[in-house]
Amino acid sequence: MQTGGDDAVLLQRFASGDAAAARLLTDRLAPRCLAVAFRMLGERAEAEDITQEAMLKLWKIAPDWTETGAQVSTWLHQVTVNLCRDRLRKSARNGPALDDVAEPADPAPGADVQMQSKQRDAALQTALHQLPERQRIAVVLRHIEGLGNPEIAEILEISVEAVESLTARGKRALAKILLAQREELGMAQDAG
Amino acid sequence: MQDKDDLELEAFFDAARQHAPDLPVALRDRIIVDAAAAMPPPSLGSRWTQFRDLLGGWYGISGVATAGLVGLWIGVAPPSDAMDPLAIFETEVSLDMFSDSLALMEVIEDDV
Repeated sequence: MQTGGDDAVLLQRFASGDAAAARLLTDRLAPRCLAVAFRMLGERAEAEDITQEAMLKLWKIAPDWTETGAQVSTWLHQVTVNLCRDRLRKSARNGPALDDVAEPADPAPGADVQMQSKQRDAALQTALHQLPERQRIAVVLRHIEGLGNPEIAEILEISVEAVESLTARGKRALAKILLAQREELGMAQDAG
Repeated sequence: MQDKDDLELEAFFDAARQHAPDLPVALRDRIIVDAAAAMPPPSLGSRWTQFRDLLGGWYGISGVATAGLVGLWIGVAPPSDAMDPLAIFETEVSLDMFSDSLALMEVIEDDV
């Protein structure tokens, strides 16, 4: 299914007054905005604000959207990333807010798989905020959102080689932080 | 071949994808309200486009327009050899024609 083309068609339908198109676009695109914003900012309330702001920009640009080759999702990712960067600059925060810091891992033996998964997610979120901003963005877009390097290059307005360098350095830094917590995160038993 | 660290990191990325935040209903509603407020009003142009598409596009419109003009022309200035459409209501049947028809019917009955 060519979702990129579908998004552009839906956007044009919205611009023609189709309310159902707005609901479909919201369900398709807003969760991805929210996920990226949350990974970048570490705070759910701020991530929701960014998501609403990014979608509002999309509604406003709809009448002028042309088939220039850019995908709607790529454009929206770029807007989301830029809004997050602006927010980070304003707050000059270097780490996640206290309410998003991972709770200490439960060392009790037999922790269920779901709990373990949540702990890894929380640990990753904390580790991401120890990365420089550009490495964090590149790793989130590449390894969590699953975007290709060319698309990330377009979003960040850098070369593909620069994206590869950012993701490689970001992963090395994450490995150093996270794999030191193997035992707490139950990874020693996975590796066995 | 992926090294061991890459494979172990992948477990963290899998966990992140599994626990991606759901779109809260309240946020979804706010986004849709924003969309309704930002939606451009239907223009005269778009109403015309819908009307045009209903008639089958430009070919349909040109056909309708042509038919209308021809009809108007025939009504105002019909061609000389064209039957006057209003004449059907003023038909006169001559007695001669009627008696000729009766005669023809009698011949037919005799033959049968």
